[in-house]
Amino acid sequence: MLATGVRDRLVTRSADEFSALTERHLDSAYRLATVILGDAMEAEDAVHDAAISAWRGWSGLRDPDRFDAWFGRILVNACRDRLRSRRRRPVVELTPERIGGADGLVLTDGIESIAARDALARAFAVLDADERIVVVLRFWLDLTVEAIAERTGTPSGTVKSRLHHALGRLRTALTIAENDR
Amino acid sequence: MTDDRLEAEVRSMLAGRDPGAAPARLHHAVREIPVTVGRSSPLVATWRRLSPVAAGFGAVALLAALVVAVSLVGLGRPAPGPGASSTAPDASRVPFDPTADGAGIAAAPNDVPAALVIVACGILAVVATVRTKSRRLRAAASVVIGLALIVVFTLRSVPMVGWAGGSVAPGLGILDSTGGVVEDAYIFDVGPNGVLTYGFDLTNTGPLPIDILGFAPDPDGGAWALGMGPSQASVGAASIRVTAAGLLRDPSVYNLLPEDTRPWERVHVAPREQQFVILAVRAGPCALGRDNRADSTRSDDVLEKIGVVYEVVGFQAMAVVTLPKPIAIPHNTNCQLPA
Repeated sequence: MLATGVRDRLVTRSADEFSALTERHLDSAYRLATVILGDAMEAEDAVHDAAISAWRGWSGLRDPDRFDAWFGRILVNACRDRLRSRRRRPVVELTPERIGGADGLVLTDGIESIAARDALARAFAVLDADERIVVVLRFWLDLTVEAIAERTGTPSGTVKSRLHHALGRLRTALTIAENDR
Repeated sequence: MTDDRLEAEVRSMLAGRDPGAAPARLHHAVREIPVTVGRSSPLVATWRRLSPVAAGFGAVALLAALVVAVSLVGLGRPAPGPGASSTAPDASRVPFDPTADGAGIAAAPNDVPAALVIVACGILAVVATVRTKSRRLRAAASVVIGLALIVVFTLRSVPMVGWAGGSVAPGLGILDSTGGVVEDAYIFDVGPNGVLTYGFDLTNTGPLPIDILGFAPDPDGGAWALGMGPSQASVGAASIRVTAAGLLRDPSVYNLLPEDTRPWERVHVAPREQQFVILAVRAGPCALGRDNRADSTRSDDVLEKIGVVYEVVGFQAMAVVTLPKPIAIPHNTNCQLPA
């Protein structure tokens, strides 16, 4: 058994290392969670939950170089849990004023039409949790299918399937919006 | 719409959701975690990772332990009948007494192990649904539950014992083997309420070893009490019935004389192996005590099937076995049954 002093030093060093690593990845984690969840406050909670889970399982991480992927996976799981636990929320009508800034939703010039933006946002909002995560990891983080598979703990084929299905739904929503213009 | 344009618009939409750097309060809260939150030991962390798997295996292990315990304790095992005493000082030389009703008559198959499996499957289903988020583990739990239910259903419903060739021997009361109402039956002349004996080979027709526990007094009637007649009975509840069973003292000597038999006991039979069993069958009160084939009031009570109660991997079941040759007992159709 380790002497108390030695053990305390090890714990302190471990805590310092954990703090340094989480600090280094905190901004990117927060941004990823916000993009997935679409809610900045909920993203803060998700990142905090993920950090607590990571600290509790810290002793299980053998290689600190793998922290990024390891913590990323915990974060994605935390976001998925939050998405799944959401009850159906009342649909908020997106008006140009709302789209301008509320809920961290700031659209850029990539979409010309308000209706198209509205349709895409709505379609994204109703994707299931796994599809939404795959879309974000692919088109926001620019991860490869294999990297997404590793991050989410699912087979590559499943990732491709989810991506295909999600894009199909987004495409349909966007096409309908364009035709209605 | 092209794929490129769709991707560009999705990227644009996602980029629009980017909130920028994390707020200071989040940095502060995360820095506090090592101070305010206890860390799991490696053992606890490992256990937490494995707990859903452990719950599944635990449920299966618990189920297996219960089945083993039930089979060892013998819950529902038939109570030894008066002729099945093995505690007598000279039990090894005690012959099978066909007139002592009850030996080798089994209780109804015990449903407790099957019920335990169903309950365990229910618990596992709840654990897999409520405690596990992993689809893989849920799928594994579904497979375990499905297999367990299939196994239990198969073990309970597919007969694993029957007549598949071997020896048949009539004993006490045999009169003839032709001329009965039913073709190719052994005709017995035992008198009212008399007892006949009849031996034949039972074969384990299944892929697993079984233990033969005994015989049902009435395989088709549904009532599990001595005195109930088989479905073929022409005079109702007071008709022909199986009342006891015994075994050969020397498995190679097919002789039903008392000195060559022994009382019934639970018999283990390996797959495809045979076990010669001796049935004691009691006639009804209207059985004829003589061979009066020309009598216009004569008919036959016929026993064609018997219920064999057996146990396979802790589960009890009953197989309805067709006898290699039916048992026929002439009786008087004008007989008035006692009230």
